[in-house]
Amino acid sequence: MNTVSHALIGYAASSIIFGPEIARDNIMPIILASTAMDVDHIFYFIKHIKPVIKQAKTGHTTPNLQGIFHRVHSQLIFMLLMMVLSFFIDTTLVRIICFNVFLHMGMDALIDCYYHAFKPFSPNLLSIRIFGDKKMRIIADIISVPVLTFILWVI
Amino acid sequence: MGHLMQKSAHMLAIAVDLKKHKERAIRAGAIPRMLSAATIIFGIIFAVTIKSYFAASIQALIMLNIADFAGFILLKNNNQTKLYADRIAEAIMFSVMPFPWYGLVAINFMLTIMKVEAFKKTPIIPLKLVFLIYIIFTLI
Repeated sequence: MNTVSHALIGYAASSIIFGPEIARDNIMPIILASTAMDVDHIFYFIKHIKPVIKQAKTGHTTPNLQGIFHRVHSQLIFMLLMMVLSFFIDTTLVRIICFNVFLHMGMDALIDCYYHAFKPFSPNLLSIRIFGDKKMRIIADIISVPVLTFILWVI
Repeated sequence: MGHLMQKSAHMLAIAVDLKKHKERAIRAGAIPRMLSAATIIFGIIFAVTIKSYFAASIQALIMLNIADFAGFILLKNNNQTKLYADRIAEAIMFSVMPFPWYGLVAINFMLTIMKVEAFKKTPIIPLKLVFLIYIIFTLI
């Protein structure tokens, strides 16, 4: 799923859970938490620019696209970090960050075609693919931004 | 002790040398995919409805446990797609909850990594079931 959709979903879900006022006050943490995980794509894009353009046309994602932040051990470390932080900073902020990060993971796991989540412990590819492999995934990716923007406007 | 050391060496070898695993890829079948998707979706519904619509969140939690139970019956082998979906659903659910759940989710992540590679029979804490029982007792 594209990064803009992640940010919009994160903001919409946070406004429902924490209330619109808290979501508006914490808009920057929400956007950062829901998009920061995608930073690991950049390293792959820089290295493999030609295959990435080809994949964008076909709708396929590559298992190597999801880097270190999308792996289980990173999520374990992140959860422990959040547990420690919850003793020192505002609990609502910790909840907002934690929720948005894992919502991002959940959406990726649901939609992406191939996901090497257990690497390096297991090479197996995980794939739920609720929108299928190719065309539906691209359509969902394109439609998600205006639909989510409309939902946010209504909220 | 020897068995434990052998397993640790095996894990280390995998971590260092990934080349032999490059070609291995398992695509999940229809049932694991459906169960995994249901787990994540009910996890999100639970997290979104827990404050405003408590009854709906309880129903989502019950459905989540049913999906887990179905997974336990239908996926007798170590299905990694379901294992990962379970952990992500837990993390989404408990990220809106207070302190102790963060730690328990982290422990479950650790146990899952062990279950996937080293010790196939590692039991994982049934957090969603524990939480359902905790909520029922709190309500009573």
